[in-house]
Amino acid sequence: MNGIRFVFPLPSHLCSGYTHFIGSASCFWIDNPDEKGCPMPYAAEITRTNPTCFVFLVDQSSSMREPFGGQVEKQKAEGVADAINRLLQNLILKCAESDGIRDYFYVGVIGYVGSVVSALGGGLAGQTLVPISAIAGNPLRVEQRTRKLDDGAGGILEQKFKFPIWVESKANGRTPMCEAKKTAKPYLQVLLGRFASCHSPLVVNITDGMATDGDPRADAQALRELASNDGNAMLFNAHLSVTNALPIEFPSAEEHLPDNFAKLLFRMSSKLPPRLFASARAAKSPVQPEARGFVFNADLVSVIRFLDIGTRVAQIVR
Amino acid sequence: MARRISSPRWHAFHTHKRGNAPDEYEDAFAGDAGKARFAVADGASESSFVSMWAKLLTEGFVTAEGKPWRELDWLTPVRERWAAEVDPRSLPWYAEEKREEGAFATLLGIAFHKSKTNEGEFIWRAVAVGDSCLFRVRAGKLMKAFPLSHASDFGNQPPLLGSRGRSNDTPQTVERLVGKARAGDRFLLMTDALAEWMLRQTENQRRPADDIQRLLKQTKPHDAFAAWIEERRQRQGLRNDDATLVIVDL
Repeated sequence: MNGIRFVFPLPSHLCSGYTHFIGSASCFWIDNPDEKGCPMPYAAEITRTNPTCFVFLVDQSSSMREPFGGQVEKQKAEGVADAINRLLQNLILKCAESDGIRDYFYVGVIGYVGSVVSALGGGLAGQTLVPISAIAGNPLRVEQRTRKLDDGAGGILEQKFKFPIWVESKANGRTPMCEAKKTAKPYLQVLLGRFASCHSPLVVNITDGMATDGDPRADAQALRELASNDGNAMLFNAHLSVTNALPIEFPSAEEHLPDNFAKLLFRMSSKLPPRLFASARAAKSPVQPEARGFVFNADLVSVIRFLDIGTRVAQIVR
Repeated sequence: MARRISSPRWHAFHTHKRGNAPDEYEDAFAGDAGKARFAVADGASESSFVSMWAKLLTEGFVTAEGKPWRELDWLTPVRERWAAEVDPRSLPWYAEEKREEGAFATLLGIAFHKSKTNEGEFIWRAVAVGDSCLFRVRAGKLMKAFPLSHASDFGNQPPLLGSRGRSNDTPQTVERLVGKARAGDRFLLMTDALAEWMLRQTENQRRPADDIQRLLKQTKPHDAFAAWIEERRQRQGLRNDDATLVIVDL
């Protein structure tokens, strides 16, 4: 495990009986979830006793100093920090109940900033995969921001809202995307070892696409080959580009993507599984069959909205 | 003024989602035999302070003055009560954000009156937002389902009533239905998982109302309900969710 510390404050009855899986790679079946008698892939319930995980790979390399989406005043690094903080906030809000946070998810945040490190700081510094309640309780700070809303009468309303920060805007060094993917693998393995029937874990890579340590496709493939009884792990990519091109969400083919980096990330992205696809359609997203978990100059917050943990409220998304 | 009927017999059963604690039950029900009004609600688990909202909604429908199945103006004082309970509390940042959005729930309410014209006949009026359902059963046979009528109609994003009373908190899709019934008819009010089961069983040529009747025949049906539900989760594909059943016999 290379000294990686995984935090799993689970009731002992949930851990016993699973310990023989820990640290073992041989318990993962690779190609065909049907062989395990799974009735439908990507349909496992997400509960506190059967949680799933999100591992975020956050590109903080020096190329992130470039402007984002043609905006001179905003660096890609700020776009990345906003994206990851917004994803974390939405995951937390999805799990927030009046009596606290329900741990439907475990979360890891890996930064590639010259080298590959956990990007969590403050009270979570040095920790890897932590329950979502630990993320909720340990932002670095909570900023007050303002958003503009339609006031319903043809005007614009300014609303203040809280924007917690877990990951700072950074731009340093090279882009070791391959190594980041290798680092994510044991995060998933620990979760899969403990919750063999969990909803397929999700790796979300937020980057400008320029790996400096080789072709990331093999490591991406290795991640996607990890599996629970529910199906293979998924890799989604959010591509933040210097190009001032229109945002693209969940394309099903690469021919309209603006550059080769986008095409490479598209090829590495998992297809939207059936239930996520159905949720996206129900939410009026214009996704087509074969749509992949890839967005260009857009964010992946909608993926969180589409995940099913119970009766959903359409309005709640930030 | 419609004529009141003599108090119908009613029973209510509920159990929580497997894996959740009993106090995390987020459905609600209410009934007033004297007023012959009954309601069930299902709180959306993604919103917060939701069991309170679901409870206030059902009680609000049952106790409201006037015709709560027709106009939804009775929601205003119910929303004020929810806010008065919730807004003064000191909460962490994430709970504050969720509270600001408000709580959301489905609602199914029904009221019965005697027919003015036909002796022995009843008029019922129902209002529904979302996928909590009403079934009229006669001699064990399902006669009417409202507002959904096929198992495939259920999704996980039903129309919902919001507690904040903002423009999108009262959905466009408020369903209303008026019908007739007679003595001996049974009405079943169910939240979504059980309602979906009811419709699927019917579509598969089973007689789920007879199944419910067998539950009622048990010596302690309320104690038996959780096990009865769990058996159907295991064997008949009843979705794991909070389950609420109100039975009204005319």
